[in-house]
Amino acid sequence: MFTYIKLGYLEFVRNLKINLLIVIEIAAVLITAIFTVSSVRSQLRFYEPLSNYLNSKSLYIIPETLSNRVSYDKQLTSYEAIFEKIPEAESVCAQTSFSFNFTGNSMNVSIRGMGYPEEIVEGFKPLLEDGKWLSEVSQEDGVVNAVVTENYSNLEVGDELTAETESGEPITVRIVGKIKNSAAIFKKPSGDMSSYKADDFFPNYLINSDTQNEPYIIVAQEDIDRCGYYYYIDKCALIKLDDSTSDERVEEILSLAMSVGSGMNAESIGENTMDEVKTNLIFLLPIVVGVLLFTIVTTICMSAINAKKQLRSYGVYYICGSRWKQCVFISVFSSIVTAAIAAVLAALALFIGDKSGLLKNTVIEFGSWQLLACLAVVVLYLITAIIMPLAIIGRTNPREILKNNE
Amino acid sequence: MISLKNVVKVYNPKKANEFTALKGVDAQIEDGEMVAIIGKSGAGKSTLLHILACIDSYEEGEYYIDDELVKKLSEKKYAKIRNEKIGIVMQDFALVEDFSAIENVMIPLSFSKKKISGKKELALKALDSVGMKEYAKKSCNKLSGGQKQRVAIARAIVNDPTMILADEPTGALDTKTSAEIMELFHELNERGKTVIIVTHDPLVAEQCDRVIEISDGQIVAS
Amino acid sequence: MKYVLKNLKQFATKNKLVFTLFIVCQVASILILLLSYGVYMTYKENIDKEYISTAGLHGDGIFGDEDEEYSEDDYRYMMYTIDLDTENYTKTLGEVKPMLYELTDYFDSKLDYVELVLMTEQMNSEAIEYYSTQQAFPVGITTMLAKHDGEYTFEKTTLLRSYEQQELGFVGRFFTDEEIQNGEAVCIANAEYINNNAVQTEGLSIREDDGEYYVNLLGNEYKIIGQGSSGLRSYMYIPLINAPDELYMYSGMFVKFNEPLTVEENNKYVSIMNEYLGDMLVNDLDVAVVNVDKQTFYNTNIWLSVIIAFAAAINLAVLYRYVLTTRRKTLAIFRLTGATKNKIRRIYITETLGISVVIFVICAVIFNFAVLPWLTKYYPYCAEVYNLKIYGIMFLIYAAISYIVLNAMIIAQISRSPVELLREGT
Repeated sequence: MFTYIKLGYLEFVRNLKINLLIVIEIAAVLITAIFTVSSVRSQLRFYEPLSNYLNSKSLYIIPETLSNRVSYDKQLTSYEAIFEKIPEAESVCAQTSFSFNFTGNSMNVSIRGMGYPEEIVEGFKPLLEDGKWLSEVSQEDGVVNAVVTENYSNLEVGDELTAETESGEPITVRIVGKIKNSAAIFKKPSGDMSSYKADDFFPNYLINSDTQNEPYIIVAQEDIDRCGYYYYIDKCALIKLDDSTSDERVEEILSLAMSVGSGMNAESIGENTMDEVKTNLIFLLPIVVGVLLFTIVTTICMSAINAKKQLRSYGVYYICGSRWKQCVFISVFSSIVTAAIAAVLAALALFIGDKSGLLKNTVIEFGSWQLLACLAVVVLYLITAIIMPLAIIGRTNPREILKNNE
Repeated sequence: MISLKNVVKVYNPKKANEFTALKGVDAQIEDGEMVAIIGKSGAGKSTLLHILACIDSYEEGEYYIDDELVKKLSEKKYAKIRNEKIGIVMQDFALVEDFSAIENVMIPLSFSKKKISGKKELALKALDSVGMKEYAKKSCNKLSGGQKQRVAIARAIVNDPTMILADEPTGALDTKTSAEIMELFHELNERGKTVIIVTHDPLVAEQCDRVIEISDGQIVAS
Repeated sequence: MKYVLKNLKQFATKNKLVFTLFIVCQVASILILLLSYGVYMTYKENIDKEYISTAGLHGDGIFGDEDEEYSEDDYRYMMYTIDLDTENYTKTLGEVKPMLYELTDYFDSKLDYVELVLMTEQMNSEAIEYYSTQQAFPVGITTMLAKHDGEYTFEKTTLLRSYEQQELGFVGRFFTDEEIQNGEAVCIANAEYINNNAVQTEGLSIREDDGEYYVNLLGNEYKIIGQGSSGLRSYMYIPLINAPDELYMYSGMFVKFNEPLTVEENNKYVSIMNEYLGDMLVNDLDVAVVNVDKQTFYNTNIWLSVIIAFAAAINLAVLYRYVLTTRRKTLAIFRLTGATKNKIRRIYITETLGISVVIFVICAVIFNFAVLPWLTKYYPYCAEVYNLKIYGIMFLIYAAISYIVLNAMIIAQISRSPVELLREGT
């Protein structure tokens, strides 16, 4: 077997010029697969962080604060309040509002604090003008990582604001990222509740249309808790209920929510979202079909050309002691070399594209789905690398190959 | 007449693997001669033949065909010489395997700059002269070695060149077939064609009017 | 030609697998190239149109709201009401006329019209109040400008159209395009104004002559060709070309587009308005900002279409190269027997390009009649993108690139000596 591996490598080198073209071709197909999967996955960008809520028994509530009709003890404006008053609540995803206790020069800074739950911090990344998202930065003691929206206050990545916790301990609020103007952020939706879908929970933030003219500063909810700050759920909370909660009980909880604000069953949000996702994915169908067909045709073609080119060599190997059909291993190993170099080339191209900023304004990411797609392409190529030579070898015999000095 | 004066051929000049295949070759071959060029493997005989056949260039010296200097001519002129003045026969026959015998023979007629009528008849005549007329429509990949070489010779003579150059024409053939092929060359020579055969086989060389011996890129005997 | 056809026949019969692959790959590559063009243009168009405004909506403006459907007769479609601070700032028509021409010249048929409400300096405030209470607003003199298909015109609003159709007591006729283009002194007037001399002021008066009515506006006399009653917003309507420059802008103006604007167009509109009106604008105009989330998605698909096209081109190059290597020996023999390099090059170019061109034409037909109807279901814009001219251009580009690549490959082969080529085989 080692002989075939060596011969496979040698065949690759022997036909280097054409094999380099094939390498570029396969690399382009791999990049195409990554782009296609990234494009498809981007349609789920707003759905995925909330999928846990939209696919199960959940409620969406808009709890009121400081309302004359709702006494403080009845409000559902904190996580604790929700878990206390709704025992069936398994998890809550809410956007909260709070204020930092700034000290020193930072006291002049005018911003609005926004808290994001873990699902959003881990599952959603807004488009950044600069810096990193909260989930991409490690935590440090005494430091609260924050991401700021586009602003007129000259707040930039790297800025550090001095503050103190509720108990008076000094902390540093470090701006690690800045969100692009008009990018989507997690925030309470607006408009007709009956038509809400996941997208609506991520409206675009525009600096000019924000009448308060104060930027948002976004931190993880756990950092707010760590600092002990007062916060309130700012009219946007998804509550996942235990699956065993009866429908009657769900209605009761909904009534409770509506007595302190308003609310609705999140089921319709989930349905509207899936309709939208399906529509968006269908919109991508021509591209996906085109890429798939092209990938299949390309891999078959490249494998066939490789096999044809190596046929005469197979004849020589045959007379030197190899078995005829086993020569297909040479093709396979040659294709493995091709695929490996193509994968490296594709990775390099994407790396250069990323670092040079060419891919900055795209949804390209490299995650497990993209890796799976690349593996599928490689496996398809290797399968055709087995099938095509077998088909070609099966239709000829070594004597004919050696006789034909074309 | 063919004349070579101090012809030098260098492969891969100015590179690490530079090799001088011909080191100042002088030779003269009269019209109608049958000449064998012999030498050991790597002596430079095929190189010399390729220069004579205008399929390779040379660095120094002069090569004349009928008092016309063949040096640094345009590609068009070289093609014309190969088509009209020279017929080439190679060791591995150099036939288009999927063409029939007559189609192979007609190739030089197709590329001729002269207006030729009755190409098919000329090709059949050439095949007939080498005893291959009945195989005219047979595909070359179905012919034996000897038959292929005959077809190659027919192709070489179809344009009625003055010179036939053969590079190891019997190298791939058995003794009997070799003798038949050599017979053909003799016939061509008797018709007035200059025949130059490169060979390492002394039996073939013996049959020629003159033997030019080449060794290490130089003519040692003529 | 003889060897072109022979080679082709040989290729098809002796090397069936490679020939089939050659055809299939070409078909796949060409279809992908055509598809990628449509995808590219669709997403590029989407980027141009996909935006969100910075200042929210003002007045009745509908901005980028593709979900809303408006009837073409709905005069509110893409209508912008621009409030002007005419108490603190004054501008004459003469000062803003260039703005109107700049807008109409830039937007041409996309801009239904620009409408201004104007006053004379002397207009009686009592008259203004009288007409305000009668709900004939905005009070003043209205002028409009539109440019459609390169010709200036006075756009017919729905309201005036209904008046023209003799509804709501309208008598007379509307302006003709010739009257507007020739700058003839004609106007349409509010009958109530005409019949109520309460608003006779300096600079604006009316007279009758033998059944015909004439309005004198700042010394310029206009013949009334049509009269309407309540519902007509202004005293009179006159084409911009003939409106006196001394008139002052009053209260506001209206800009009506008939399609959503691209980012560039919107920002051009805003810059023109800011340039001429500046502080007179009560509210900031909507500056368009690209929706970056959608933009990144569109950019990705644009890149995708480019990469697919590149992969298709490489595919073809690999195929061509392989086909050429299978012809090495034949190529060498042709050279041995006296063919010039150029002749050989022409044989192979004709053969390979010949098949490619035929396949392209067939693929374009298949694409246009079979693939495009399906594609248009997902990308409606594609119906506009593809036409005979585009197919022609793509064909030329395809043929040109194939020609260049093939030539380069063939020349590389035939530059070597025939002996080398014979020795190499495939």
